[in-house]
Amino acid sequence: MSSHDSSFGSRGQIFAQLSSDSRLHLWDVASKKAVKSYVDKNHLTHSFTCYSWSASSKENQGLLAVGFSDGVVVIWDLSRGVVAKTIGTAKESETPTDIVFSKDGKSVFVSTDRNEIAQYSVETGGVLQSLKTGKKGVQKMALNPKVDVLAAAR
Amino acid sequence: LLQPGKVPATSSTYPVANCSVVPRFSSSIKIIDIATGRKRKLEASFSGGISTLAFTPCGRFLAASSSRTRELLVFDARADAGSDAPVFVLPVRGILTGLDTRTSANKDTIQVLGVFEDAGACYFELDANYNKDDSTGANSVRVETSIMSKLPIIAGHLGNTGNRDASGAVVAIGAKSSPVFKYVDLSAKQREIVLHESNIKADSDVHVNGSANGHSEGALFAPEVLGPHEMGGKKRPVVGAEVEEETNGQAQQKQSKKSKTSGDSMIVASADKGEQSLQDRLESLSASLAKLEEAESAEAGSSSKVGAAPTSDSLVTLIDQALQSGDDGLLEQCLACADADVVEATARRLPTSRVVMFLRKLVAKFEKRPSRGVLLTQWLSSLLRHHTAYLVTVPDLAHQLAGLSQMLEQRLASYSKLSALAGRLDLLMSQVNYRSNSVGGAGDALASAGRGMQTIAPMQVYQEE
Repeated sequence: MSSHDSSFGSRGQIFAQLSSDSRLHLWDVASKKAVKSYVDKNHLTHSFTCYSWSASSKENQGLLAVGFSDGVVVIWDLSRGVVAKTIGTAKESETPTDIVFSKDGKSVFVSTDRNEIAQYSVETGGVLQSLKTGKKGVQKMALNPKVDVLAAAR
Repeated sequence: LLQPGKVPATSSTYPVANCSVVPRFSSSIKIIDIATGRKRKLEASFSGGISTLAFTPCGRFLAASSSRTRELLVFDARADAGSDAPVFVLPVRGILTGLDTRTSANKDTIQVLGVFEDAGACYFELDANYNKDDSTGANSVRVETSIMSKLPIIAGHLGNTGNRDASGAVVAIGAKSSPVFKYVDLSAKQREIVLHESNIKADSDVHVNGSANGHSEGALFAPEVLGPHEMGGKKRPVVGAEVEEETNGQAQQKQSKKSKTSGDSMIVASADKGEQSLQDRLESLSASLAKLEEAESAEAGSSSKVGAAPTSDSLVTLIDQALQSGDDGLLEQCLACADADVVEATARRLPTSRVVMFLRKLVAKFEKRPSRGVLLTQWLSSLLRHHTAYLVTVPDLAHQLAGLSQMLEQRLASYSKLSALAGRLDLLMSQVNYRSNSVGGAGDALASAGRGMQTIAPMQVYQEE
């Protein structure tokens, strides 16, 4: 389930909300309590543009990737409560518009206003491949859970 | 239940797969094969940018909505679908901001939950085995439910918490800073479900923060775990009390207790006066602060004569006890000691088994309130200095002190730049000194040379006649 700034995790146990000052708040849905909130060090200088959950299990809360307006994608490890990886360098021109985790959660697809979607490895932060899209860029993406197919829309 | 082939009365039309109308394309949806990069363009018949996009869990359908058109489109995403036009065009009553999809166990129904921008949500059950050649205008919409709510619905999730197969949906309602989670039963297949404000409030009263009388704002308070850069909502109200502890470093326990209780009573008072205007609240706050300060200065005057300076012997024992029992108040009392010698000696004498635990406590406190840095860094640095030999032998130290390293890096990021700047400024200042001296006369220049400055002789001197 995705919404502009708030969504439920894949198992519906955690609810995440990104406030307008780019703080990430997590709620435990069953107990209706605020569990954690994360603050990136650049949260006041750069606002978030998009975010995505990776699939979670009972033990592992998974990863949450947040794209910032300076072009950086920060991946939080929710079980450990730390930043697992910071992808990309601060380039204002290439603001991420949407992020999608791959099925295995080991890579992320990041779309920008430019005409390509880049696939990054979560472990190394390196570019695995880039897919060409239309000239006007991509606003939203969705990954097919069964086949290796990506829907990109603007 | 709506029968397949019948158009629900609330919906205007359901254009079908072989619709001949070509709409104006201003948004575009493409399906890209990740391996080959091959693209297939779908006919997205709405204007405005895309607002939501989601595949069904079975991977067969793709649901999309736009940020301007009040329609929800469902495409057949399979490569052999035959048509690029939407198989379902569902009119909705608002702009969708959130979307969740689910496929039934026998894969013949797809369920779509959409959340509107303003308030409310919609729920559809669609026949997965739609008839491509059906040109009568009714692809099978089995159920259409409208969820009405006065409060905004922030997001929705099909299924119950941790149980994706439940027939209902969980929705987050209310303000974004304090959402209320409510389970909506969709199994009755009603046309309309109204979420009453009173129900939601009653629900939140019982469950938020697990207390029976907590109000909805309580949802933000008291996170259980505080990691790097995490913020807890509870710390703000007690700022006054703790700052005081910090400033009156060696103050007596009685005093800190007193200040805490008075701080708490201040909060209670302000909460009770919920109806007061801001000005009234500020006035009462400043009055109570003034009282507090008076009491504080009076006690500080009396205690300064009596208060005995702590020694490292007592502090080591106290810190050990505080860490063992998890007594945060006692630890705070120990940390309040600002005497550099005592801190050094305590850090040296602290048993090694407690070092990592103490470091973590210190880091957590530092993250909670960076303004206490001056005091805490003193402790941190002396601990690190005296126990380096032990710390390098701790196997998972990197993981345990990740927060500390992150914090230090963050704080020292600008240090190298600042020191470079300081160097340049020093150079400039010395140049300024030198110039002013050289203008002053040869004697001064000689004097400056005597101070270690080099005199630079001009190559040529032009003099006006």
